[in-house]
Amino acid sequence: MSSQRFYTGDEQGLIKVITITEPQVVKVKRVKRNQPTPEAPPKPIPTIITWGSPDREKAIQLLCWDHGKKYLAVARKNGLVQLVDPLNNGSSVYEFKLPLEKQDKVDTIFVGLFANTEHIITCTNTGVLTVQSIHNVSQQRTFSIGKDICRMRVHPKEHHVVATAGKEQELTLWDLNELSNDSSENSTPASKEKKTKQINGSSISSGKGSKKDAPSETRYKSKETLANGQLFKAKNVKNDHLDLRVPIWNTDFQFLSPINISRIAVGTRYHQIRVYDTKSGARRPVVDVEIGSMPVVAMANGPNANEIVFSDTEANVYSVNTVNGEILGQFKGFTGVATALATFVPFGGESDVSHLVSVAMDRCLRVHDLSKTRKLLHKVYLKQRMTAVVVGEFTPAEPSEEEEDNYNRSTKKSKDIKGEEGDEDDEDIWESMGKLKEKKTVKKRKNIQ
Amino acid sequence: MVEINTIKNKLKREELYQKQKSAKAKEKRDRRTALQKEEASNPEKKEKRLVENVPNTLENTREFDETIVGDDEEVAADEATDEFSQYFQSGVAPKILITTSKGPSSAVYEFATELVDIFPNSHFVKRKPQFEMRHIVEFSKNRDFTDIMVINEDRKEPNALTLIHLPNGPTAHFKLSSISLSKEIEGHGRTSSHKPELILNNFNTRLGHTIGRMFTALFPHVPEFQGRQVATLHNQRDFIFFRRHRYMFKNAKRVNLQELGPRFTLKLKWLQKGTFDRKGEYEWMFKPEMETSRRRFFL
Repeated sequence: MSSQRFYTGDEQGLIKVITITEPQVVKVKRVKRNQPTPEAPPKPIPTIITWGSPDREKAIQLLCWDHGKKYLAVARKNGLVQLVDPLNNGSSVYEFKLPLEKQDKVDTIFVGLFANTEHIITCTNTGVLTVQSIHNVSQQRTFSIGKDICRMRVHPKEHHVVATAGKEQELTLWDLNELSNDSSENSTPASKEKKTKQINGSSISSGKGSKKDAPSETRYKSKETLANGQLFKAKNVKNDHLDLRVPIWNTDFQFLSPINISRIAVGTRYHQIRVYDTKSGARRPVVDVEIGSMPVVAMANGPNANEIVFSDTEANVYSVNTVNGEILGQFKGFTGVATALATFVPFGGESDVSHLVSVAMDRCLRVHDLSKTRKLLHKVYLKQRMTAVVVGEFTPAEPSEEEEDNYNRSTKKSKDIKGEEGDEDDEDIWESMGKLKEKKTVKKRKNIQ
Repeated sequence: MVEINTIKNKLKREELYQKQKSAKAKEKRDRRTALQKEEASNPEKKEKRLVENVPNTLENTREFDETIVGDDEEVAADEATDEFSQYFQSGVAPKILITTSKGPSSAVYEFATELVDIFPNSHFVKRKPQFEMRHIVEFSKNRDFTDIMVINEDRKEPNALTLIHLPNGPTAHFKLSSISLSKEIEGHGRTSSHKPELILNNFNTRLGHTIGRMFTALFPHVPEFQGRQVATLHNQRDFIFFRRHRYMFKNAKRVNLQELGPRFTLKLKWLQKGTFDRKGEYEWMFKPEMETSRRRFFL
């Protein structure tokens, strides 16, 4: 019985741990005509563990793993950012609070969250990017990167590169090390130098490819349009057929491939899917297509870099080809808008298919097959309007006693059979081969000596 | 016994058929009178028979729905702090704004008059074409309205009702059908301005609870019982039937009902988080692909 775990966050501030246990796959023997058909294998029963007590002020806005998948980072509505230990019933290991105040009647919310062993990086929709050190509480750096940010994500390999996008905010890549020069610092100036050094050190240690990126950085710098700390800034698409400016409202984006991360797919409120290539030198999107008629809510990487999955506000979830912008298919079964998506390879990465896990406003967690069938595999009712989901650990099946016995028997049998029939022939072959090898090796040794 | 339809003579066939038919009827009649006699002497048996005899309907054979709300602490906690807690916990009295789509026809005005009559503390406001829904939501918030009702029309007939709860939503959109105004109902009573009682039937799932709470929040907390007026919202197979009656005591045991009207039927099309926004996030939306079975209901 192997089991897959998911962690979800909801509007009541509860973290739920959902464990879906796959029943043992039993090969059904052929059934004779008059015999009753064997019972269908039992449906997987999800178990749900809830952490925390309901409190709307603590509503979870974002969830993510830290770099080693040891702790779970949680960003809450009241500005609390926590590191939670999944092995210890979700007790908080580390936490800090950011003041989130209303601006022009609009609530300030978290739009980005990232954690590694050194730092927690958060971003709010008002454009306050905060880098908080985990080891030293007083070490906090904040940058202002413009208002109306809709999403912040950190480069999956190089943790000092941060991407942002939003309403009238083009996709921008920032270098945190460069940004530190003109940032407004919260902590005491005495520790300023130390901090920057530490952060530089950490980023180099964590980001393997920082040296590789150096030439492209210099190239971007040569362009005058880039402000301090920016590595890349996208450019709006050309005017439409009436020669009117196309409005910008990026809602979500994803770094496409984990190996060569220069391509970024962006979804917009005007239901466009765009793919930018930061290394090609072009600032305009390589691919720009309109899909559906509703704003993009969430995006997730597909099984490979050529596919991306996104959800819109009318409870549709599409799979799109990032090379030519074609719709590959739609995932069925949603009755409410899917607020968070994540893809994973089931069975602990030992599978050639991938699955899509999603949580939706209709209070359900769903697991879909990402292959051509796009089948709904599991659906779990979670009682709350869900906001965030991350994929947890996979526990492989422990082979039961019966199975082991069967295995032993079958292997024994095969050995016996071989022993009876093919002994003589085999021995002949082995003898002839063995002699040849021995001679050769002996000769060689003599020569060397 | 002879198979009647194998007899070739038509007269004979007819005769036999009639005989057989009357024999069957007699047997049934005898069975029933015997049962009646037996049950007259033994009334417990009749009760038992009536309890056991439950015909299968679409409702009582509905598909299993895990979202049906039972005794669940988590759901109770969720409902205690939802968008309607202002009405249920803080006791804010409802104040409703009723308006129409742009350029309404006379049928819509008539229906709006009926709605104003149903809901105490409701105000009809003529829709001005220069204001969009988001403007109206803002204006209503400033004027302490708790709900907005917008009647939509198609071909000069009211066809949809949008219900917006203020200040933080949600927004529900219903298809509106089978409208009979009070004057079209024969023998209808005259309404009084008393606050009515409210009956909600069969809002069982989590979605149904939200819709039920939304309707509850339209009526004042304490009804005026001397008015003896009852508004009923009865959910059957996802159709919500609205009826309004006055009950009249004939004597200590018997009560008569007098219908006041209007009658109309609602069907939920979508529920949206927040106040009305065409591009907002839909918490629930009806799609034709969801109709997988006649026994699957959502409310």
